[in-house]
Amino acid sequence: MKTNGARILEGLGIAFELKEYEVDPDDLSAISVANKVGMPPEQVFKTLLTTGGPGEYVFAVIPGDAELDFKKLAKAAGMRAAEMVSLKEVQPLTGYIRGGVTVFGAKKAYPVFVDETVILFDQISVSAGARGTQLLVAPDDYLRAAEAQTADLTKDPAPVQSSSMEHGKYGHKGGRR
Amino acid sequence: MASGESTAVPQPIARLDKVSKLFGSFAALRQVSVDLEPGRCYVLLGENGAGKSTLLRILAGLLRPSHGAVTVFDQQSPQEARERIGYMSHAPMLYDELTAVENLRYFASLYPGRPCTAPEDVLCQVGLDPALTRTLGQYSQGMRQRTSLARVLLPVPELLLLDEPFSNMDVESAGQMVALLAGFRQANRTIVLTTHQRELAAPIADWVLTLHAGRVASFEPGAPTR
Repeated sequence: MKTNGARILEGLGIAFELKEYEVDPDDLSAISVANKVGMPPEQVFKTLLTTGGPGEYVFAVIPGDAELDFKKLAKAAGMRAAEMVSLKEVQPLTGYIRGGVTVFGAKKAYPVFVDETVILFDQISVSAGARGTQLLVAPDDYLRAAEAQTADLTKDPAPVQSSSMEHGKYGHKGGRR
Repeated sequence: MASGESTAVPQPIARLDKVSKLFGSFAALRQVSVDLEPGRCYVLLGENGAGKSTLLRILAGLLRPSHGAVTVFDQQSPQEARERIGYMSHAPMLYDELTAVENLRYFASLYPGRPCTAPEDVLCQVGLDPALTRTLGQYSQGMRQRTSLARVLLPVPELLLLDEPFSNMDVESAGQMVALLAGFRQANRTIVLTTHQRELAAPIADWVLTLHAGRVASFEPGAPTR
């Protein structure tokens, strides 16, 4: 399905890939989407609409396994504070339903802030503008198309205990020979 | 494997878990995950800017990762475990106007309350004559590097982080340095070193980790001389 997001990227001459997945209305989480599209959750970015007050809206785009730090976002966006827009306001403000929000082709061109980790990857996945469809695109292209700024936007994870840490899944682990 | 033979993997002496380091919009390290076992020598390879020195400085506690976690010595941060870590930077960080012994006496004085090897002994360990009256400015590059190593060894670190220890050395001096490091490895000290000269480090390399653009491009067993 060709979405608004796809059309806008095409118009800019940006290479991308559309990936469809089966939607579970009871689980629209980015982690679930990541599992379905077969990418690590840190590469599947979720698009959140936030507000700094009446008439002040900002998109925050962060990794699927991370939690938005509103203080960091507010600082990056020059707002006094930030909070999530209520669910019922998402569609009227963006034109997209929850689970299908993209920064491309939203009702208004709200400023876009993307977590700085976006540059760590060759490719990221973001919603294409409809539930069940993801855009796979190079970070630089995404930032350019979204006219986005990058900043550290996420909460620092709690320290992980060694005994329970799953390790080496995406990395490297020295073994004894 | 014989029945009853232990299969226990030693507890890592250091662990990097999805460590990334960003300098503005430049990613020096990208989600690097590595476990370092005690008594092993890890050789970091990669072109300039690949992230080798950044990785070393994060392990040394001189830089904090932008994302991810680093633990050393049973869940300590590198900053908490500084006294157990020896870091030899690419720059010598020695005083040319002083002799080797004077340099080491000065640096030993910076570790009050910590047991340090006597400067004369540590110079003997690295194969230098402590009685030399020449100032460091008159030393060869190989001797300077060995003095740098001696400085790192003063507080008896368990984890040695060496940034280009063979830099500007001739083959003979590099060979002496390798022999020294082989001895430390035998004494169950863990070594992580960066180099552009893989062949020089080959005799002590338990593992060879190659970085490319901040990512682990390969992590392969070496073939150290026993």
